[in-house]
Amino acid sequence: MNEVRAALAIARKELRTLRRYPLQSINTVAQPLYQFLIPSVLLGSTFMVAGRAVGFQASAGTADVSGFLFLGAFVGGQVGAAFWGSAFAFRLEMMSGTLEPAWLTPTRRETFVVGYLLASLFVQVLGGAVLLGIGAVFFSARFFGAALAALPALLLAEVGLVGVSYLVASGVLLMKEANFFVDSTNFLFSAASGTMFPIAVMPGLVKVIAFLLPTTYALDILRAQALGTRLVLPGWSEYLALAGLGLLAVLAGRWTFARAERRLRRSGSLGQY
Amino acid sequence: MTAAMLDLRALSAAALKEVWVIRRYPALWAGMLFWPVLLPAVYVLQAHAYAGGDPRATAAFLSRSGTSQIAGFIFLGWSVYMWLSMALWGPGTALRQQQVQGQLEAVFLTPASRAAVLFGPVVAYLALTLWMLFVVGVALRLAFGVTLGAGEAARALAVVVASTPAIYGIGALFSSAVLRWREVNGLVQVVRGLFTVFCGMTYPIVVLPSGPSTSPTRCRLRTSSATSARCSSVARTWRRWRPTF
Repeated sequence: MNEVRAALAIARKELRTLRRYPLQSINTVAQPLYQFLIPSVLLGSTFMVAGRAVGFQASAGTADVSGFLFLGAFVGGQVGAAFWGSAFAFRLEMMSGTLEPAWLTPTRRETFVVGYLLASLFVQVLGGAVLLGIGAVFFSARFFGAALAALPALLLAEVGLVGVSYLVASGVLLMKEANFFVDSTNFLFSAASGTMFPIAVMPGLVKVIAFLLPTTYALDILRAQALGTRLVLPGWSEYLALAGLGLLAVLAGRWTFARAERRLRRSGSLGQY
Repeated sequence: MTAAMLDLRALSAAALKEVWVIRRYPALWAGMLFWPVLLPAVYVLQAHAYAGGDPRATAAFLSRSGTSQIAGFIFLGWSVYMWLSMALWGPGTALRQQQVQGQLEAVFLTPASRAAVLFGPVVAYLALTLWMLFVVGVALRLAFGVTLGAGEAARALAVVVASTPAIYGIGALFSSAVLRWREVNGLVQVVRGLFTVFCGMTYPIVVLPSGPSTSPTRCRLRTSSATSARCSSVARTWRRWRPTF
């Protein structure tokens, strides 16, 4: 119970800090919009024939380019929260010299990761909801309420993202300057999950990696419910794969984080950056 | 020694310091290989999804962009995006980092001119830009078979040189804004986002609703794409450059 309270306190502190930088909060919605969605929608319109995405219909199973992309951005935001939530917070604490004092408190180290992730996910879910609204109102994306049916899949995906967050936090603590590591792996993870294009167009090896990521299945289920695209795996096997991979990610993440923490204790390099 | 000479020395010292910092983080160098190749490559895959193997979709792209080289078109657009990112992130982040670490006040107390502090990192990041363009050229040639002849490369280089003052002017403006608002991420994203949307970096600007087209990046991008698509004479290229100057 104490750890839950600590996690919530850490999340609250993160949200309070974020509130002091309003541009950062606006960018939760604006950044995916102008950096990914608008350029992608416009690139898509370059291939349209008489206002219809005939090519995209063949490769993705839907002609609703906006719907496909906005749902991808929604899940991409959650992935970004898992990668950047703890990474950015740890990095900032390192640079400000507050990480060592924080780790001297009786709170368990793992709780810090969960607290950072909670704050980040809270912001991303809110931002994602606004994005979906913008998609529906301004870009004629048609996801309707059917997407709500995919809510269990999204919740299962969050479990997997907790594991991912542990893995990323370990990398940041060991590498110190991990911006490239976080940025590149976040980008690859997100792209391989199919946020920007259907799995069908991925090269062979990338397709194999895509099938190992829990978010691939969550996004696939979400799109199938909302846009009527075909599932990559039959029926409930997608849910099973999602749950299994999510659990595996949590176990691997916790183990890696414990190893990283032990290494930092031995080397005494927690305060270095 | 004249004041100008002293400023020049301070500028080169600031640039050298930035190079040292960059050298200490090999991940930055890895990024210079990773992003110029993988960021556009992902959008090339997206374009293939849009084409879906349907010749009508490919023909639509050809008619709107003026080139059938999808990979070349997208790679060039994203290389301008990455260049802009470097101009905005690099110097601005360097200042912000000094601010967070508490060194900026000490630097400002030295007799070095503010311009040297502001533009020193720019010189270091210019070298990174040239490296990035080289990587894009190699990736285009090896992965997609898009070759640039000597004349085209020279014209592309001239476009880069002509655009440098505009891009780094924006970078300097941005760095000053960082000092004022003490926040680097949000500002970079907004400025970069505006350029991404309005300069047609991943799409031909004909698909944009009609409007003004006088941003320097937009003009340069049109010129760069035209250069690669081998459909622009020197005179036409010059006409497109003028707003950039």
